[in-house]
Amino acid sequence: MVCDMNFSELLQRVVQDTVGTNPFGDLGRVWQGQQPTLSDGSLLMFLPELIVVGTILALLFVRLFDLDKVFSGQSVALLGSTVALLVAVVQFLALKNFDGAASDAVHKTMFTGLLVYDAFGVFFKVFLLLFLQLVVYLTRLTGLPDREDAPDFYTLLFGSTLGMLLMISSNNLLMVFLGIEMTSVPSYAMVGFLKGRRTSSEAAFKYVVYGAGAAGVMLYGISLLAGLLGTTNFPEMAVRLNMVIGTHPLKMDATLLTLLLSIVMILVGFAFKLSIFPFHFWGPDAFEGASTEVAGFLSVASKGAAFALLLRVLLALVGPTTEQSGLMVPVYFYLGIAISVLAAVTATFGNLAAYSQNNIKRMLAYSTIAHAGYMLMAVGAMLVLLNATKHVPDAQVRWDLATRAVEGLLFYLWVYMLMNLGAFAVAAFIRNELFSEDITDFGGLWTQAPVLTFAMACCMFSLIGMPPFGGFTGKFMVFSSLFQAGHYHWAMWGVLAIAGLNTVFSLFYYVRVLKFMFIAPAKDDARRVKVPLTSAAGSYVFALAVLVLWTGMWGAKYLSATAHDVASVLFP
Amino acid sequence: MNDTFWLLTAIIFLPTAGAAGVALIKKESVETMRAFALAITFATFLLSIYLTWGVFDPTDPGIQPKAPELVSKDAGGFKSAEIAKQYEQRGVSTKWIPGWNIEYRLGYDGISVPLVLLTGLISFLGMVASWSIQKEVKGYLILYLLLETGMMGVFLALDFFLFYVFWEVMLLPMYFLIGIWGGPRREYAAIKFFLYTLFGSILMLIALLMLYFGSGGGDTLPTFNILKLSAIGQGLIPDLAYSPAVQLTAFVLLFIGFAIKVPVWPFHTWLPDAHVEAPTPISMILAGVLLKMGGYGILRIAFPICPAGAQAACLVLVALGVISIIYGAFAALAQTDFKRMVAYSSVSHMGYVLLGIAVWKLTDTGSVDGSRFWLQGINGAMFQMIGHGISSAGMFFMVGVIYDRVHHRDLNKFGGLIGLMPLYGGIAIGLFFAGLGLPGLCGFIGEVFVVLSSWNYSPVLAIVAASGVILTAGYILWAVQRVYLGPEYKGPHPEAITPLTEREAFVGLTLLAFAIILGVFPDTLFSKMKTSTEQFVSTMDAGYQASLKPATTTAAVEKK
Amino acid sequence: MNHSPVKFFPVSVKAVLKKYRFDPQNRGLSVDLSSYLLVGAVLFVAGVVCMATKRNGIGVLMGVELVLNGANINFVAFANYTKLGLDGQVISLFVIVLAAAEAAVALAIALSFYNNHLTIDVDQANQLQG
Repeated sequence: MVCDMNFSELLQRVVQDTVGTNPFGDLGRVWQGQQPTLSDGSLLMFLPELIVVGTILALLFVRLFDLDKVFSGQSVALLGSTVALLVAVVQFLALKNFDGAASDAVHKTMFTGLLVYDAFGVFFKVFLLLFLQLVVYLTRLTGLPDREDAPDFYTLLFGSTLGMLLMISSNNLLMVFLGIEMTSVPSYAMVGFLKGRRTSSEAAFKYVVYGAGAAGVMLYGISLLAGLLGTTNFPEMAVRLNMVIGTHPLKMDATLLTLLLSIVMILVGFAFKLSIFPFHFWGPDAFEGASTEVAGFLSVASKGAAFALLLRVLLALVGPTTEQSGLMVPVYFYLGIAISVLAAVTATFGNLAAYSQNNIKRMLAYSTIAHAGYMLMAVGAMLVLLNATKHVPDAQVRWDLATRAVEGLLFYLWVYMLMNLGAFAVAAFIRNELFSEDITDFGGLWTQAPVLTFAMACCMFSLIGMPPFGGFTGKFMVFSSLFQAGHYHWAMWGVLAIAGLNTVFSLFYYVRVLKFMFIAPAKDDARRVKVPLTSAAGSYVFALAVLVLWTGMWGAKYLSATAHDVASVLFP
Repeated sequence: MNDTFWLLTAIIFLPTAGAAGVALIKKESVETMRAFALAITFATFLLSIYLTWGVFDPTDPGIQPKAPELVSKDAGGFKSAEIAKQYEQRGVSTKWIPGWNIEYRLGYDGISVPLVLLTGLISFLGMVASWSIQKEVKGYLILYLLLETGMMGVFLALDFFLFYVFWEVMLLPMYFLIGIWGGPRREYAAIKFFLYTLFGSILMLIALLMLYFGSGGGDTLPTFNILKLSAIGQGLIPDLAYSPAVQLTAFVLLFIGFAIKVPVWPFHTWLPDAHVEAPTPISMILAGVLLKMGGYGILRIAFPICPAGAQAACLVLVALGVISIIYGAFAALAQTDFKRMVAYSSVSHMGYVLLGIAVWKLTDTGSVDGSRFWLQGINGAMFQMIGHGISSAGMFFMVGVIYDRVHHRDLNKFGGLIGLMPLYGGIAIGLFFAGLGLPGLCGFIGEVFVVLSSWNYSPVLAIVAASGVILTAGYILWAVQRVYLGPEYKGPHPEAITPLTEREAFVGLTLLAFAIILGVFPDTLFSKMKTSTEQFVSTMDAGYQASLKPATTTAAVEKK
Repeated sequence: MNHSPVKFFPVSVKAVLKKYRFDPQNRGLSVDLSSYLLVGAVLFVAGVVCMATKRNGIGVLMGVELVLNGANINFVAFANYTKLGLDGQVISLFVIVLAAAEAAVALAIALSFYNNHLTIDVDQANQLQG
């Protein structure tokens, strides 16, 4: 805290931090013939989020003044998400190209250090906004909200996304909680959006009760951690932690106990958001009760944002150099193993529970749990690799290995977005045609709507982890991190073996969907499904399927290289 | 990127392009689609013929093509430029995922070229036989062509990652081809096939990770290049080696993955189900080509990369081979379903392949005992793979022909077919005798070579294996007697028995012709692979000796 | 000294009770950080117990509020006694606002549940299972 500063000076600094030296940022600078320095004002860095906020306001105005005759809520939403996505892409390209030249641009903070602006965050911004765009387009095709409800629905959707955008660039424990709550509260409402349905209200009720409880526990953990460290700012946390813990030999005293308790409580909050065993139970219920589109949104976006935030929190605790966390290194090492084991249990549980499901959304919900397990393995492997100081004294080697683990996670998330959205989209289109979400009703679909079944086959094989689809490449990267981590503790090889076996288990229920679509005959009284490739719905799922294929073939090159660059930002 | 690169790429991806082409044809014009797909498979077959006789140089033992711009002075990390020439600087490649050093690397040698040719032939004949498919022809043709891409890719890939990808790519269409167009129990058969192979693939994936991360140390990036991995396994690269323990673990994982495909007892149980339920052309492909992938994988990957592991496991492999021979033969004897009998005969015949590959005997001092016998075994195994590819595809086709007419396969309800369909009976008996191993036909040479070579390894096993030949003669002659000879046809639908169509006769006669050519002039095949198998045997011996010396080695693996 | 027994609570209960003992000399209570933390912890535990045992949906939500307020007391106490400073108070303000927003949504959802089920007993939410 700067105390020798009068109020006007303080105000001036805050203003400068917010709007920057040149209110038009790089554009203005280039206009004046100066070198662009990357936007240094927070507002400019915050532009994608501001556009999302603007879209929310526009939607509310549309609702307020009954403008939906002129601009439908869908078009406003589509426009807003497109512009926000474009801005985020520009930011990402700029950051990527600036990385080498201006090293101080790698980590910039926004709003006096509450948020961080780096390639990792912007990468996730692109991820979330692209996904938002795809979901908005999907709801437009399936007609989920009718014209009247559209502004409400998209307000919730954009509000939830805004929370996720805060989560991924959090640099402060306050923003962690704020982001998670801003994400959760609209998603509770979205799950209950099908107002008249008993299942929908039940799903929303369960979700809100469990979600609020988990958030409360997490907040309590945050309060303990903040009090113990005396700071909520991420970059200072590892140093403070060293001061608190490092002053005396590591033993089970009150300080360490409080610290562990607070970390566990925070992780419980994450486990809930990621639906990690044993905090997974809300997932299938919420997904089954919610509409398919909302379930698809929640299964990907909230997972992606939560993983980004989990990485940020864990790395803040570990510190930029592992030496800073000093005595905590073995604690983190075993925490990594514990996380991986939990991930293995989660994946196994998700896969086993998915067997007996007949409702496609519920099956996909369990599959989401299983995939959260696979991705969490990468996080566990990263912690193990990062803290294997006993085996690998060279910090640079450890960072390289950890970068690989994060690269695998990022790659997996991208592919997961495409393949999971594809599966949910196909389910939504089939629901619109058949009025059924029961897998056993999908018989004989492939002769009627080959494009839907082709897309479903691509997504299912990708979810199993079969080449040449992207799911395989992602899984391969995660598995290779686990394998590397196994050199430092045998338990990681156990996790790898379980993960491999899980891949084989998961075959049954994914292929079961395909079995009904391709092999089983159509039911006699079933409606005919007509979704040709030339229809918007057909081309939408076809494009997703091609993208899933692309990420496994030519696209793997670009995606893995980008993911590697982005992951390396996290480590010095 | 040169002509060979594009030739190999065309062999692999021409069928994929064909599949895309079929997808564009209107659903109603079935005959156009069939003709187009046939043209594609024929063109691929022609390309593989061109590869074999026009491009392939049988005098060069190593992987071809030698990249001319790379055949240079510099040892590139190898012990000598000579060794580097043999390994690193071969094949054609381009980067695929540079961050992980994954390449799109292709190449061929005397071991893979015959198999590529076999794949081209069987795919083409299978497509001719596919006229019997009436349901959803468009989807069938697309999947069939994709399957051919997967198979060709497996035989031409020289990057382990790429190999794995093609290995799995072949699996996906197969699931649908059995599951949609198969017999009554097709769902069960398809998922069982899928599950077994995927389980093997996961083991292979773990071995892949072991070998990959063991292949880089210090500043060198790890690699998936099979040749480089082999060189490391054989101790040809200083400071980089797989310890015997790593080799044995990797070998066991790889072997199970390949053994499921071969299939070796006790991993064979998917095979009778899949073969019986699959439609005739797919049974031909399964028996003719897919089973060979397992043998090829053992020859190309499991043995060269893990010589020490392979040597340690040889006795087990030989035993499994012999058990497969005897078990398959007895099981075939017990069948009443014609197709199931042929399926079990595949288990038995592929046992010879494993036996021939594994008769690698060492003297007490550790030096190789009779490497020319082992060479004979390898040659026999290779010949058996090709011969079985032709005879088993033929046998399945013959079963399919009669099944299309009378719609049953009960061995006890046939009889006298040679009188009713003389041409069919003649071709069928010829092909079954080829399967039996009658001298002068393609089945003979492989079995004899393998049995002779196994005598050096263990006379007892050789006697047991040879008794397999007698059992084979038993079940095939018995089947021939029950189906083709005898006074009259005893089963249902006697009115449906019509002479062979021209299409069917073409497939049968072509296969029979190949069976006779290979049986009478085995050197057409041996001349193609001789130098490669010779080099295989000598490098394996050297590699085993090298990998036993602990030297500078294990440190590099431990460090990663 | 190295063999001191493991304490399972960050605050020694005995020490806190000692602090609250009537002290005739001082005629007052000495209140320090651990006392506030104790109140926060009691609120937290009460909230968790409430969430776990109440069958009534509103009761569960009240439990959540208790937990949040337990955390809030921690924040404010830390703000006063540690280097956390004003940050703690700011966070607690944010939490109050968020808790209100969350309660509004939660009550709306509870109402929707009531409209569909005519009860807010969480045990009646049993249609989605498996």
